[in-house]
Amino acid sequence: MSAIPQPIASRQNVLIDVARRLSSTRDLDDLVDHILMQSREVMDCEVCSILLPDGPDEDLLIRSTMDAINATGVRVPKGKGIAGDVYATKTAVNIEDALNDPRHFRPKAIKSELVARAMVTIPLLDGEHCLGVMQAINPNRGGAFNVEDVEVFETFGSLIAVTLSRLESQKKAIQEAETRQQLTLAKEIQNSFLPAPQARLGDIAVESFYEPASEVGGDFYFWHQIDDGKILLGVGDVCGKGLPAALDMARSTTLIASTAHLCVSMSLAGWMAALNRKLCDVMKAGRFIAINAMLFSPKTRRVTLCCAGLPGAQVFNGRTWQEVAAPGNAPLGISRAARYEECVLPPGAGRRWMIFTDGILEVKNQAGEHFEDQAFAAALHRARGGDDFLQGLVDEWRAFAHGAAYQDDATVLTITDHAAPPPAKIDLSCQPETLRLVREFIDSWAAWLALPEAVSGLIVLGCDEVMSNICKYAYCSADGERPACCRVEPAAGSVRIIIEHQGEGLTNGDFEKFVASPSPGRRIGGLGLHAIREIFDHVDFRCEGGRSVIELTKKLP
Amino acid sequence: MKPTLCIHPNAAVIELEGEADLATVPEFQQIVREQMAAKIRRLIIDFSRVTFVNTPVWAVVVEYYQHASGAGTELVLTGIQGRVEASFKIVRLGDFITTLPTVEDALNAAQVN
Repeated sequence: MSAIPQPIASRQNVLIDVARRLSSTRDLDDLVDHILMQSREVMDCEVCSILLPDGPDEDLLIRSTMDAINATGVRVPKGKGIAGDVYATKTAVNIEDALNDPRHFRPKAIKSELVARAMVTIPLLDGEHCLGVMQAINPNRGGAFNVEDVEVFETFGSLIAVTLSRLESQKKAIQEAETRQQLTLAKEIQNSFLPAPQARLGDIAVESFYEPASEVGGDFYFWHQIDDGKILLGVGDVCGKGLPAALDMARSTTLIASTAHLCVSMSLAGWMAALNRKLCDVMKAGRFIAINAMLFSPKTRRVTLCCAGLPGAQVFNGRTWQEVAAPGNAPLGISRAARYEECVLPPGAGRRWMIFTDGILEVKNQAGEHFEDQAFAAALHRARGGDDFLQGLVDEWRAFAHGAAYQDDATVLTITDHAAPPPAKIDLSCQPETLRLVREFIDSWAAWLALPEAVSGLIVLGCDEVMSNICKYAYCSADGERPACCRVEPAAGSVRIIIEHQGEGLTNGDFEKFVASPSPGRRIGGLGLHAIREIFDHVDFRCEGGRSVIELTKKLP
Repeated sequence: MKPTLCIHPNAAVIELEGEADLATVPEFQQIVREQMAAKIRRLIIDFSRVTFVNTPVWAVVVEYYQHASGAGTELVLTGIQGRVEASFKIVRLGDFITTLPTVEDALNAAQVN
């Protein structure tokens, strides 16, 4: 035991050495042990301890130069003892007789023979934040620690505090990096449950936009081409966020993939009901999934839509986007008894459809307005139906939400039927042998419009009747070219057929005069005009620029 | 499309095939009128292999029906289906012309009668 304090030069050398060690160390345990050994040398005392908060109760865990203390993992409860007081008040204390200090607290776990007489206790401060305390006990020279001892100890402590702070930041950064890595991995895993964002399936193009609010989300989209060429596709939104929602999303997409083939023989609504029952069996109470699904049939070119808990689908009819009036259904996973209804959209309704999750509509801008208030309709209007419309819509959505936090995952799925229409018109010489060309022309349009056979057969018959009459009567005495042309103009909910020729045409009055209902005794004739009137909803005979024009309009089912 | 004629003990059968349209009418009409002249007891016109019929073709059928009503002979149409049936319904010939599913049905009916 020395009665003389260490020379200042010696203390500075130790401090410099410790500072070097502090700046290079990365292991907290090694650092603490080194600190304790060096601090005992600097303070020239019997024992040095460092007490750092540990656990949720913020007990102070003692690490000491005394192995007996370290071996038992001694803890000082929060607020207890001189150390607890210094930790709370962030103020250093220098006590000459610790045993008789009213704050003195000796943990029962301490089994050493140490008797604390003089003690200096300093807080390890990082700004206002106290990282722990250090204690130097019993100077070897006897008596109490002096002012210089306290100053040196505080200098020492400030170095240690900076280092502890640095280590804590490093530890936090490592933990955050690990979390980010795990979330990135989770995102990659989640994305593996999603199909390609774009696909071309024959004439059908599928395109998606998917943006989870965080690394993993509860939104999803799917598309599956099943055995008979049908395409099942849709978007979903699992209630909640984060990993639980992501796990339900994975479960849902797996179930959808494994049951998609049922749509070969099952209606879309029937498939949704079956999927709902399966989800009810496996999902936790209180969780559910909203899904909007579409089934495209290449044979009929019709789209079936079933909406369960998400905003309605949109269809582009060639001029504007319109919301489809589809029946609403309950989200999936709530009740096994839920029933599902669907609606069927004919090709005449449009050839581009869009379904999306509510994250698209519910996003807010900095002014607090929702995208659905006005911006959604305006964006659809501007995007129109071009091939880049989804990108246009997404650009507007992002611009709207710029600077505001996204509240929810957002997903859009579009399906576009790129089947090219038949030629707009056919020109022919009106002869009995060429009338089949008009029938074939009308049939090609009927197929493109996916008209039911009962309707297309009648339209073909009606047009053939017009052409037969032109052949027989308008050009009855004419030789030569006998020109005629036929064109088809599809419209929303109807189809219009224009037939023109240069022979002698009928007037609407003639039509009414010659049309005859069939009867057993009636003179043969007029049956063709009767068929034309029966088949079409509107018939107009007129003359335009020297040509005879017959306009036939048929409303579509 | 070329109509074909088959003569049975109690009936003549005209079989049509493919699309029966304005181009078909002259030959079909000629065969039908030959049957009128032959004063056959029963004429069966089979449409089972026909995919399209327009009113000029039905007019030939009506012509024979009107002849048959006065001559005391019978007319039966068979194999009306698909677009032929739609066309047949539009001109409402089913209101007064007999139809049977098959030629065999029509021949059996002729034997019974």
